Amino acid sequence: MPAHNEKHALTHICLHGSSCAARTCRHTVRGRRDLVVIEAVHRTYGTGPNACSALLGITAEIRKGAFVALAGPSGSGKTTLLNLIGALDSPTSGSIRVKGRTLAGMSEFELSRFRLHELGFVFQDFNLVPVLSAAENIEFPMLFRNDLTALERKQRVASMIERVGLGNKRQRRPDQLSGGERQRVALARALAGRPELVLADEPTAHLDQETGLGAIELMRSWNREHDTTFLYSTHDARLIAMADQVLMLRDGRVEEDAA
Amino acid sequence: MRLFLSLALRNVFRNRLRSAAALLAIAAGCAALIVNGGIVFNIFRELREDAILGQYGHIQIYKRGYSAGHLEDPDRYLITSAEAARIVALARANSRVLQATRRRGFSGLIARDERYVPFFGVAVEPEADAELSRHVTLRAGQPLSSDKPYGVLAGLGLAKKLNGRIGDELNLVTAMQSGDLNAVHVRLQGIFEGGIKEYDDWTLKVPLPVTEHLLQDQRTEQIVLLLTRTDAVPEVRAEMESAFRREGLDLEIRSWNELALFYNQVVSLFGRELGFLRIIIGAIVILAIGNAIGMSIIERHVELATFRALGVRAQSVVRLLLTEALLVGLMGAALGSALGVGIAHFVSAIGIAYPSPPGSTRPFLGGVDVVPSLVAAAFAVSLSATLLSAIFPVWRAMRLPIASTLRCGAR
Repeated sequence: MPAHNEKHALTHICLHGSSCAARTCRHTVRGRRDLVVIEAVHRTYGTGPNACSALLGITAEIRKGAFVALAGPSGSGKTTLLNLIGALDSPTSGSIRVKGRTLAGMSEFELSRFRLHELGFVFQDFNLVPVLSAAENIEFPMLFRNDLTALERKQRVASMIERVGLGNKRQRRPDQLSGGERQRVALARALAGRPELVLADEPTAHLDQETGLGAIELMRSWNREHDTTFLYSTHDARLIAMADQVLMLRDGRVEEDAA
Repeated sequence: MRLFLSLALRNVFRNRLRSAAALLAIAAGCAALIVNGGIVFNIFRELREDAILGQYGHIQIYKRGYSAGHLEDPDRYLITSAEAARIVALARANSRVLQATRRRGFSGLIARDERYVPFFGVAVEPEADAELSRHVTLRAGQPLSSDKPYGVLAGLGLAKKLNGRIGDELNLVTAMQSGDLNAVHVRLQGIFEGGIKEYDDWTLKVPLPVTEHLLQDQRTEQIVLLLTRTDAVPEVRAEMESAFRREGLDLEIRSWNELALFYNQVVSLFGRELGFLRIIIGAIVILAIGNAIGMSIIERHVELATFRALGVRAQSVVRLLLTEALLVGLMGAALGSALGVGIAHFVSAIGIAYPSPPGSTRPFLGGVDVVPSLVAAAFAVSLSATLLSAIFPVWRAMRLPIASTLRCGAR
């Protein structure tokens, strides 16, 4: 039985569905299996004359282990697409499959579980819990996972906080950290759960160029070490240049899907 | 779990001003319930004790059928002196009976200076009656005493009608069982105020031996019991009933609350009014708490959406928020209980001057009773109100779409 990270032949049927629960992944893949498959996704807000279409038939595939930049001007639909892939929102039409499972078919419970176990989120505004220390922020989502013991959680927190270079600031609360440090805590929180897919919405928007680059390099190195798939939205040309694949959006459509 | 509880506790204190407002709302509401309840309880207790220690005692014992028939045929329902002695002995054998004494009601005329004033006589055993009349104020003179067998006490209104002064000689005239009139000379030894106008206007307290002499009858109308505690009435009543059955005494027993018509009317009328007031206070408390808790949740919509985006189940977020509400509720209710008890003690030390209640002749100085069951109820109501008022904002927060909440927060 192939391991998760193993590359599959073009027509291989993956037996590793979400959480390895012997679900059959029925879509075929090119070279490596696709982790995310987006098919003709539309997202419209409001109804009638006030309706506003954010996405107009997006179709794309993201391979397992890819480092993907989602580029495009403001209002092109980057955040909307990230929210849909992250199961924070649902498409008006079309479908999104992650690890072979259609998100639209999942219950609220399954979606929460999916976000908790399979996804890591990095928010533009970091969204750290203000009353928790850096270490506690990293540990927080893992508290709700039954598959991790307290010891495992602590080990992961210790390892992640060292990895992001905040070992000496682990007890500091977010308001005692700089913007770059907060983003590193947010990144550590997203990665500590060892998700297969990390979604980052303009993770460097509030950081200076150097700090932003550092954050992306951290994501890149993690991507290479753990074969974790990253999908991040950005305007920064240097960050776009670091990606394996660039999805260029404009006015709710994929203008370019370049490897 | 430790971090979960720690997070809840830290969230409670994250916005100190908001938390202080919420705690104050809960504490003030809890204290208001305790003080309001304590005032009502105090008023009712005063009235109750007035009824018990002014007129009725805790328990009255009569011959079977007395209540239904004594107005038509009073003579039929009198207890012989031998039976009365047995009843008193049985009652005094009960450790919770403080006093057991005979009483007899009769009526007649007071003749003084060619004036005749009707009266309602209560024949009492002088020493025992002093204990049973602790809430009766002696306005002038001396209490009844065996040393002065012909001394009588007149109610304030009756004394006014007689224009009587302490030491005045009075002639009591009444009809005996035979129908013949009899009279006795007595001396006005004191003037009392029982608090109930009707009672004070007509009542003359006469030593039992004088009455027996006047009526030429040794029989007793009722035995009055005073207990160590009012809440012991049901138990003592049951014990007395059982003792009388054992002894073959066919008697009727009535408790103070069956006799105190005025008390029952006041409690019924004001109980409803004050109960309604309590509902209004409760509603204000719930609204104030709801507002404070609701605002603290609304402020955190983005954070709550972040939790859910990270995969925390809505159920867990609800649990966290309700844990926070529970902590705020516990702290607020504890603070409110302490505040309420403190205010109660302070107000009781100063005293609240009340005017005379309806039907009463004297104003009284009230206080705020600290009733443990009321404090517990106020604590529980405040805690429940906090939890209840958190439910709607929590439910609303959980229904907000995650993506748009995060987007709105980012703007």
